[in-house]
Amino acid sequence: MILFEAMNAGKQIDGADILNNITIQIAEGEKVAIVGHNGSGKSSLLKLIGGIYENTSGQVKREKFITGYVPEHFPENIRFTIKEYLLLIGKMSGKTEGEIIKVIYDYSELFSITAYLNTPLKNCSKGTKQKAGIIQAMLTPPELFLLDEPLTGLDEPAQKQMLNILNSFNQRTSIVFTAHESLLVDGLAERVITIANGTILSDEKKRINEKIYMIKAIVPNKEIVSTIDCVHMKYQEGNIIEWMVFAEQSDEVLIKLLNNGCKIIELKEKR
Amino acid sequence: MTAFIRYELMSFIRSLKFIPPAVLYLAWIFILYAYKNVPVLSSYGVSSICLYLTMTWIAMVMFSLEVESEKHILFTHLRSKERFLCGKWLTCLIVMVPIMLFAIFFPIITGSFNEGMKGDYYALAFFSHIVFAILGILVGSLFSATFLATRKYAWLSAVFFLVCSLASKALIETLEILKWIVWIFPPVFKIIDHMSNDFIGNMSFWFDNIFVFIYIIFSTFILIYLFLKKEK
Repeated sequence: MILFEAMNAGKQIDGADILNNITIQIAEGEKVAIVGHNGSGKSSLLKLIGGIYENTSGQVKREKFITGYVPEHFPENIRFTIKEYLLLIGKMSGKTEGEIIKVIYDYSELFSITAYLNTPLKNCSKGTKQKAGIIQAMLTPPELFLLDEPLTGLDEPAQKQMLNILNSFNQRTSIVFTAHESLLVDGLAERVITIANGTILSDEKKRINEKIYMIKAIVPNKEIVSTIDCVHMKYQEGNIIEWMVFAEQSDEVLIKLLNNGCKIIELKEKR
Repeated sequence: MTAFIRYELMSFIRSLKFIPPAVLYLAWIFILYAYKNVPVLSSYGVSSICLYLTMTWIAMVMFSLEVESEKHILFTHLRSKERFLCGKWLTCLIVMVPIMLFAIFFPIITGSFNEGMKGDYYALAFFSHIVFAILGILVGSLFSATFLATRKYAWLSAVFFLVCSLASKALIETLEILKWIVWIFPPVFKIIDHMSNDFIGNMSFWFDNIFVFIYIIFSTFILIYLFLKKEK
């Protein structure tokens, strides 16, 4: 079943084009990553899919579904403790207090925030707030789960826990997320939509059965970057760059890097 | 909806943003009844105006409680933007109840009136306070929940709008042509006109009430449209 369909959809905010000519479909059970640079329109596309934004041009069709939404930045000024907040939010979706409390404790344990449940959200660390922001979206199992940079602010164990939780979701749950981290893109996405300046550049199914290697290298200059064929790339401190490449291309990439004066500092199998 | 209203009420109270309008309102009522032997209906007319201004202020605070991301989370849980708007309005009405009751019963308890209360006085007092509170909430919503909220002078414009609505009768008397413009302002004078102790429930009273009722219904729909347009 198609949950969301956009045909040449566009979105304007205060006269500025945020999204242009968006033509996509999101089917039930799909796991989709939206990637792109800052300000490319990733978050706006996510909001358009979830109905938080409406299109100002083109056509959009949306089925009725339960949506879970995790914003990029969890609101700073919420005036409740984590437990109060999650309880009220859960009740808005029509669940009973008993059901919600059980879910709150289950997820709090998974994310190791049980000790902070009675702490005002304002006083919580960024990571704890982010975890509360993720839990609120899962209180009622969503049919469409939208996550805007969900791993931002999470420590490594919590990031892996998050990936496990998302992978354990019902096969019929559609997950659409924006991410800079390769962890989610590599570990969860079946399809990757690349967006730039509000326009979709590519929309490709991922080859999920192939092995992926992570190559980390110090590069003498950034000219080499554009010549590397990779699944995902991330700039790190200094001149260090991390690439995710398909196993069959890894030798070729390594040769190219070495021939161009790069120093390989790490190579490991990611999937 | 009940959970959302609780969420809003708790958030509103904990924000402490209710203190300035509530203090001003209470001070106004205390000053109004500082003198004894005051006429019943005209005093209630004045306290209705206090409630009108206070509810505009409270509605504007209510609509500015959340940042965008919090609002977006609430939209997804409520599954409709209309429910969000209705929840906000219902919360404003719940906040209105205790302060309205205070305005009505404070002068009765302190024996400030020059005559005893009668059934039709109670009816008119409740009616005018409720209508003024609703009009106040609608004005507050116009300047905080629609495209006007993002304008630089939203609060100033709201005050201008309130002053024009209160002065609209005087404006028409000064310049008759203004009668074609002032109808856009909340018709508070149509109620105030009847709030005197020689109150007569004549045809003009009922016609004015029908006009106010139509105004409220019509502006509610316009506000829903403008809110949805802003949140598109």
